[in-house]
Amino acid sequence: MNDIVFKGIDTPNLRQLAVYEANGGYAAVRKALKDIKPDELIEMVKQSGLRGRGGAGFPTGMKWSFVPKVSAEPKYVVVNADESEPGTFKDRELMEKNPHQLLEGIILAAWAIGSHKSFIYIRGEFAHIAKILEAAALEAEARGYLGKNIFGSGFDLDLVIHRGAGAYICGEETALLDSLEGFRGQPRLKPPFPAVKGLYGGPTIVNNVETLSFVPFIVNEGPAAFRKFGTEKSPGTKIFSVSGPVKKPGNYELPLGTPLRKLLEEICGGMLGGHELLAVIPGGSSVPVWNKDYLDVPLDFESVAAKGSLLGSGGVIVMSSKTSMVAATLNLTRFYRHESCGKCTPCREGTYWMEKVLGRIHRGLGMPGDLELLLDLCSTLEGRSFCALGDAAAMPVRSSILMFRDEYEARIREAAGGKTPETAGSR
Amino acid sequence: MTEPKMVTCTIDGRTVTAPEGTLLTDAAKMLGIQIPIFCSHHRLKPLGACRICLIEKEKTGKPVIACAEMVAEGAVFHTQSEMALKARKGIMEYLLVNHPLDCPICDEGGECDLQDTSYEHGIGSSRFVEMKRSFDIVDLGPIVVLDRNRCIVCARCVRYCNDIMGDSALTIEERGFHSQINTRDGGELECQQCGNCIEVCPVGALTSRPYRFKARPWDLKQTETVCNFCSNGCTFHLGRREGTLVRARAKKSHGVNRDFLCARGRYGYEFPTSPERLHFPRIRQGGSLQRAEWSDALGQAVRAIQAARSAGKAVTALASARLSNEDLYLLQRLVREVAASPHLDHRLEQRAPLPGPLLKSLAAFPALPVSAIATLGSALVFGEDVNEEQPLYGTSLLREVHYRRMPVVVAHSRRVRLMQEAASGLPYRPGSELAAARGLLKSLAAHQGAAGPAEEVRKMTAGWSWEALASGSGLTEAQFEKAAATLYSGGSRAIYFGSQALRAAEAPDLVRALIDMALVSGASLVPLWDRSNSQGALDMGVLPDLLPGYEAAPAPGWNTAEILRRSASGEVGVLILAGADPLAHFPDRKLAENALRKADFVLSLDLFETDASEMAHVSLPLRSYAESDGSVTNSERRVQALRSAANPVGESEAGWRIFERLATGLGSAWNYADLLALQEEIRARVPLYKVLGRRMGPAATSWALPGASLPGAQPVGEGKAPAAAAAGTLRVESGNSIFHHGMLSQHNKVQLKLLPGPTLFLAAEDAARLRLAEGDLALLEGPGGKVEARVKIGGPSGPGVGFYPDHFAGAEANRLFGPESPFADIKISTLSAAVHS
Repeated sequence: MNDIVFKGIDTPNLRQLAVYEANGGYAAVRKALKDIKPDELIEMVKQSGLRGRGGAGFPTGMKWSFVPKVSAEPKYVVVNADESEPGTFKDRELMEKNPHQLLEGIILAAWAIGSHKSFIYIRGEFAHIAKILEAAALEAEARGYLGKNIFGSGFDLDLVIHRGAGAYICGEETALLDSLEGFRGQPRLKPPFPAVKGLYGGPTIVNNVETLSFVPFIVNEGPAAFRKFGTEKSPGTKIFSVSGPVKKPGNYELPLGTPLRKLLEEICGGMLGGHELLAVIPGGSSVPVWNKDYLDVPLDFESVAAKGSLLGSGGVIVMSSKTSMVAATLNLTRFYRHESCGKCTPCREGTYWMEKVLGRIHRGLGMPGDLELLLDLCSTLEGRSFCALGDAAAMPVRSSILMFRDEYEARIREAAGGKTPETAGSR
Repeated sequence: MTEPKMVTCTIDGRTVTAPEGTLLTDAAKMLGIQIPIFCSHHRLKPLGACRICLIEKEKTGKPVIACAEMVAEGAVFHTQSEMALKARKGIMEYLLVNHPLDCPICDEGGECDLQDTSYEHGIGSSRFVEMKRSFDIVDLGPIVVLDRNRCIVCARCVRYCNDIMGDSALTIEERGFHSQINTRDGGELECQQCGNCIEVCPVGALTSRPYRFKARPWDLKQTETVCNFCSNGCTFHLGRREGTLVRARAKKSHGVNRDFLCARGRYGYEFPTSPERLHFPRIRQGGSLQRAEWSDALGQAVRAIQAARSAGKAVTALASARLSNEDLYLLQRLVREVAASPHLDHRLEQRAPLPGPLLKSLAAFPALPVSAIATLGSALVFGEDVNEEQPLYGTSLLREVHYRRMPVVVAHSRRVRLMQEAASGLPYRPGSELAAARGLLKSLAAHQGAAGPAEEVRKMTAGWSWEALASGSGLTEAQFEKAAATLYSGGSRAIYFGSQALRAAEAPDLVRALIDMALVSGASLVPLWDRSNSQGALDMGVLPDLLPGYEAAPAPGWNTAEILRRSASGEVGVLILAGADPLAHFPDRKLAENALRKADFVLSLDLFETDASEMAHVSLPLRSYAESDGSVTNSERRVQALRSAANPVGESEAGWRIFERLATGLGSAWNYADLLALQEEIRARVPLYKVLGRRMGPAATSWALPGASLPGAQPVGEGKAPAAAAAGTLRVESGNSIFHHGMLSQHNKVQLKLLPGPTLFLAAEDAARLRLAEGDLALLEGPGGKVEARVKIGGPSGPGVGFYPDHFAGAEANRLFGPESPFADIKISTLSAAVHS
């Protein structure tokens, strides 16, 4: 556990450059700027098999390789630190406790694609973390580790830390870019993808905090060392943020492929007294929910997908028998309704409508046919919306109805007060 | 330009081959397959927001949006498959979640995209049983009403306003299902009031305030005709209800403008059915004009022409360039053939009208359609505030600047809209157009080499000193160089010029310089004339030195200034004013007054009482364009049909019929059975117009001068540098405001709401210097006299140059400016300060 990005995470004063460096920090940048050509660095990351840790799991080296070598417009590295996915709090700890590891990752990414301007787009509520990052960046710049002529290599990189203004959608990479440019945070049409035409029209890579934090290790220890962890297709480790009524919730860095049962029962110490496991959302709120039959699924991208959910951000949300699935699903739907940017019709209207239907079921005013209506709304929302937010809103609703249909039906039966379905509709 | 690669794909089992990059919605249209759209619009970049265009693409797990999907080799699409229909039905149901069912009282009803799509994809009843959200209905100024309840947040209006018009007056506020359209500050719209937001709105969220509740589309008698204001020649549909014109609307499948209209085009429909129109012929009796019979009025005119001829005095005519080609053709026949006089003109506002050979040189350049702007490499706009004067050209250029950073050079004395966004601006001093043109020509020629006109021009310009050009124009050599480099940075180029260039005191030399620029740079050259049928007036030879079809007149006659001067000195027997009012438009108002007073006989044909008509001996009521069939020719030289959309007012008569009756009264055997007979004669006598009466309108090609080759290099004379503005004054220019055009629009109530009366626009820094505030009533004193005007900050002004649009009787620009130059140094004093609440 805690083998790579969380290694020594609780070392006192790790935020300070001297402490980070004493623990081997900035060795990767020194090495890369001196000895590793950008193309070689991209190849290393490709070989490591590192996949994006923001949720989609796209191969990072491949993303970097899409950036054109020669570009009339400046190239940019943008860090997605807009960690807003319910149940996910890994980037927060990485930045709070080890900001220089992220900075090192940014410099390496910039070196790889030939960028001289980078941005950290950080969730607005993380004001205190923005200060930590700023302090770290200032310290690095003062020492010549950032800014002009890094480590005397002649390579320049500016870093701008930009706080968002509180919109979940800005975690979507193109909405993030619009927001960064000063527009409404709304996703852009793709193609063109950001690697070709991103921030201010320049080739841009947008990477998650955790993803970039892995890069120094890969440079220092080599791709093979990274591949010692995890599975063939999902190599390396991943931080899992466990929340809910387990004995020891929190962030744990584990090799990908670790079974869910091991995470919950061994590492988190099982359920709190009086709680019985009811449901688990394995990858942040935007993925389908499981019931307790899925404890033996290995937590890697392929295995989780094969069992009908997604690894997503690794936010493992545990719910106990004391949780109403109707209430929990309503709560999530309310979140997506609130955070829908409103650009596309299905997400704007669908989340609103779903919340209304779930709300009446929850309040005991559900009507026969409401579950079919909800499932139908899920199917006209999923795969039809502009960006993944629409899918994210639909998946928890559909899966919770499919997994916990009894609870929903019981609620609707109560509302009907024992009346026949034909007469129950009138309220 | 390389030919685009062609791609073949299959839609609904039929193959279609289209250029790479073609959107699926357009490819489907080629097969006659209609895919519904809301957020997508042919002038806008794809957005992909509304999702109503979802279709199935084989081998893709989920439906794709046809508005952003491009044709791909071998791809197979289905628009009617179960997946596609279910997806669209789902979107339709979502769109109706919050949409009110108020179609019966909605102005959009019957012309509503949502309504139509709902019939096709809707499910008839809604499964949404909760309360719909609701908003108050708000007026966004005199033009636009916003009903957010109906809005489907497609953002077309916001994007059109921002991307196409450059106004950014609308925005989306809030997020998610709270998303709503608003003005930027929540107040009234601050924009060009073009109303295109209403037109592009696919529902009834944005509706026209003047048209609100006036009619249902099926109650309207709609006629397609051509706007009568500027020379863009926009097609629109005039809608008449119970004898009154109640709206103008453009349609995207019609006309050079497709669905674009400017404020004056959209709201200039009122004057033809205004109660102020002249209804009857009038004859001067005992000092005033009295109602008369047509036969008596025409008889007096005939006798006056006969008397002039027998007395050896001149018969002269001044025509409005809003008249139809048929009117203008017969007027010149009347003057030339029946009255045997060469003295006629239609150019009232130009101080130095272009001589015939120069006009013929311009006509030798091939025509360039406005649609070509979409593929131009670069453009120069010289001496034209193209967004105020020629809105279709202005907005077309602005779009390309926004969407693909098309390199554009704008040369103007004021900080006009396009200059603010152009890659290169040449803000010359007022009156120094020629120096600026010479400087740019010198830079352009320096880039080009070897042979032909370029070599000649380079030799000519080599001797011009940069110091003189710079001090003359207020520009630097570096600015000229940058402008030249900008123009050369694109592949195909075009040079546009307009009213400021044409009204300049040195217009002929300026136009010669522009011809040289086009020859040197290989650019198309496009004059943007100021009236709807200025092009036709040139083509029909309503000129002292050119016959129809650009044939040199054997004995050149007098131009406007000469006619008026000769008249003032008692040499004119008859002055025919065919819709023309020299008192309002000729720069020297006193001379025009004298001319009218001293002419033996003045015959006025007009729509309204004007200062000139009231000085006439006989006044005849003319039909407006809206009551006339005929043709007009736009700046693309496209001959387009006018169709009568309203019943004739009173006893008003078409111009050509009046000229025919005068000719027959004078003993000519003219007898046109109908308009077609007249058009047949024009076709036979003016080869340029062989399309006339057959395939007219946007489908017709522009005419080309038969056998013409590009002119040779033109010698360009040297101009006089304008003096610096006198101390304590502001240099002011005139022209058309975007809200009005000439003197006709003052009869339109809506346009009067947009600009109610005489107004001085000036830049904020000039207002501060002169201690003027928005809304102040100011006294303007110039070389021509005094007028009172409201102060408005901004607009097409400054810095250092004010703008006084010329639209209002009693406060015409020629009452303020002197006859010498199209600008003047104006002394401004506050009469009463604006009341600010």
